[in-house]
Amino acid sequence: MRNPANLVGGVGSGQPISLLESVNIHFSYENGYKVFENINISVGQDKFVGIVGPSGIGKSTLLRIMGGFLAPDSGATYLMGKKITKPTPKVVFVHQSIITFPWMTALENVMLSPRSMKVPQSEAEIVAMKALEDVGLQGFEELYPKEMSGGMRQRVAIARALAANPMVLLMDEPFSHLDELTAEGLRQDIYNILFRVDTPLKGVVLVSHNLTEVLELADEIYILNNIPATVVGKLVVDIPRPRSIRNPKFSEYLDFLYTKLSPPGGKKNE
Amino acid sequence: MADVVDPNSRIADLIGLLYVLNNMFDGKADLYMLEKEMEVDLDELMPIVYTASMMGFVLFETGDLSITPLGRELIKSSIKTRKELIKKSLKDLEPFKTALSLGEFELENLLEALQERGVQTFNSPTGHHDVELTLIEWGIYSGLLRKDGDSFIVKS
Repeated sequence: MRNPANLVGGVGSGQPISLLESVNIHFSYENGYKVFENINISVGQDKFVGIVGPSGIGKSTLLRIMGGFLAPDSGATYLMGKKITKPTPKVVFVHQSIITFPWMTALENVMLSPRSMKVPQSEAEIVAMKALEDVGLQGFEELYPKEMSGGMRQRVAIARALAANPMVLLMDEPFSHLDELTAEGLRQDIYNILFRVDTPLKGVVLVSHNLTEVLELADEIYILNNIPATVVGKLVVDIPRPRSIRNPKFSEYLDFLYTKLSPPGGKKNE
Repeated sequence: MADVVDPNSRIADLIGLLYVLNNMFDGKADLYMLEKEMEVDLDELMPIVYTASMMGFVLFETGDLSITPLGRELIKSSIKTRKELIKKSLKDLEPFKTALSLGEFELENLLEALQERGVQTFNSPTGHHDVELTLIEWGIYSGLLRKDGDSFIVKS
């Protein structure tokens, strides 16, 4: 499953079947501002893919396109070879800010996702209980978000995403609102939860401005830069887990990312 | 003075601290190095350092922090085993020691009992919320306690 280390200057890995694949994505805002030009991203089976880029480049917008929440001008996203034209419960989003509804208990918060898929109440409850247990929150069912720490609330949000039984999880800066120590603990936990637990989950896409975080988690990293944004590089991260920033490859990769992320020449960033 | 779980310490902080110690510093670090590495202030770091040390997951001596065999076991274990280890290590620490002696209680009872025992940590304007958050973060997470309405109940 693991590829040898290589630093590739562009896309086109030529993997046979992608779990989630965005092909030739072009996208402009309504005012004509061109955001993306010919973006190709492929998420392989059981892969954790990171997307990095300077702030304002449109990382979150790209994630929305990949989830079918936003239609590109041209190009398309395919889930297991099937074109996505609208949001699907198979591709689920975990948002930047920790979104839990304060008037609902942890269980009710998590039940929202099976309920939105018209799963009957009793079954939704079973699914939600299992999701809470998976993220380590057994016993929190009847608690309200205000009774929990930020780390615990983010677990509830992740449980809600998992309760939809998604194949792909799209995460937009999920740890950015937590302090570094909490984020580190949660990152390690979440990685283990996502890939150990018995779920249909087959892939994760993480957008983050924190390069160390992405290097800690991702199997492959796509680098966006320029205006309009294109994929300017792809990195296959070949460091055994748990990863240490003391591994010499870590700084080698970090250097590579920084080089690719230097500001585009001549044009002003948004 | 009784050993008290710091109300500002969190489970994720404990896991984060142990991971960083074990994977980035080969198990041992100067507190100052850790502060630099994690880009956190000492104020943010100390609650979990003290709590982890009282729980037996790290050894903290004269500015040096090292992971104990128990700490190593914790990060290598499944969530289920982690909860067991945390549960065990809470039993001699306040506010859990007092909670265990009460069996079933509401927050006010516990705060009174802690006061009687001379535990001052929660004797503050935010004490009510602090003790609640601590009971939930550590006690309910580890399975030591469960909550039923306004009551906390020590699980068998």
